[in-house]
Amino acid sequence: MKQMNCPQEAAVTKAVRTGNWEESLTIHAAACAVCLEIIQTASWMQALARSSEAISTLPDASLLWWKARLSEKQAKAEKAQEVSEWVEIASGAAIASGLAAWVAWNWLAIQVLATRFTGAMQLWVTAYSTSALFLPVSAVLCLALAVLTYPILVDD
Amino acid sequence: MAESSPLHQRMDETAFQDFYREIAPKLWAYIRRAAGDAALADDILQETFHRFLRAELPALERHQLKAYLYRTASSLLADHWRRLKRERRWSLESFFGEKPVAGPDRGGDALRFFERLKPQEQALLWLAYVEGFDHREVASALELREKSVRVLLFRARKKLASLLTNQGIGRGEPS
Repeated sequence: MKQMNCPQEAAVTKAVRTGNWEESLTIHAAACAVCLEIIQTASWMQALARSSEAISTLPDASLLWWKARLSEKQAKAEKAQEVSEWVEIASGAAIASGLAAWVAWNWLAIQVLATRFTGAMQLWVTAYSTSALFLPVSAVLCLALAVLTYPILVDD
Repeated sequence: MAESSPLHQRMDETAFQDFYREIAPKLWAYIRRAAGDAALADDILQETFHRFLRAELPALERHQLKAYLYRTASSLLADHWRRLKRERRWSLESFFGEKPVAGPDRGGDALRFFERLKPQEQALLWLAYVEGFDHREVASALELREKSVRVLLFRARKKLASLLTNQGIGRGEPS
């Protein structure tokens, strides 16, 4: 089986990077296949790192710093908005349930009111067709509606 | 357990600038060589530091922060290549059999050989032989086991050797 590693690997890599070769390490590397391969690869990689074009202007550190802070604040604001949206939904649901409960509780009274209201509507339609009676009849109907709903509202 | 909080809450702006000045040029060089495109390298570098500043990290030493940056950059690069592959697969050009539009200038031969390695192989070779990370640090940076690093690094070295030998190039100096 081929040898994959050598105990001197780290020392050889460091020597290639720094250029400081101890005599014993040089003697070892010359006779070790793994170390020779590491020397060749590390030298090639070092040269590759040095070779290519000059670094274009790097993004400004301050800009990156403030961008990160801004996005942190934005994330916090979005989270807060999400909470307020949930509160809004919960409030709407509570109001709707309250209304439904109130209607169920007063269902009989509402039915009576609806019957009276239908009769009153017929009267109103008749009054509208004879326009002379329209205003007085409308006023009477409004008054009647107020009088009829008053006990229900007072009860609650 | 160590407390985690976004890095910019624990590091002041001046400390970050010092850290950035030390790390960014080499990190950019790594991304540039792996990506083969300077503009893409700029974008990935920015995104890497953005994530780094927003990340909720426990108190880490400098070399661990450096490893975190390399891991993030490698992962962003891998995401980029995956997305590009998907887009090419579903592009109209692939249905009509047209050649894809030429990419950015790939630079010299050395860069071409480096780009032919898998992202993980690129990261392994760069961290071990340019940054001088030991096997434990490479394992931590790339989220691998230390034993796997030994094997993978061996394979990456062999692959690079075979790429260069096939082209009749020695490994002394990249062209």
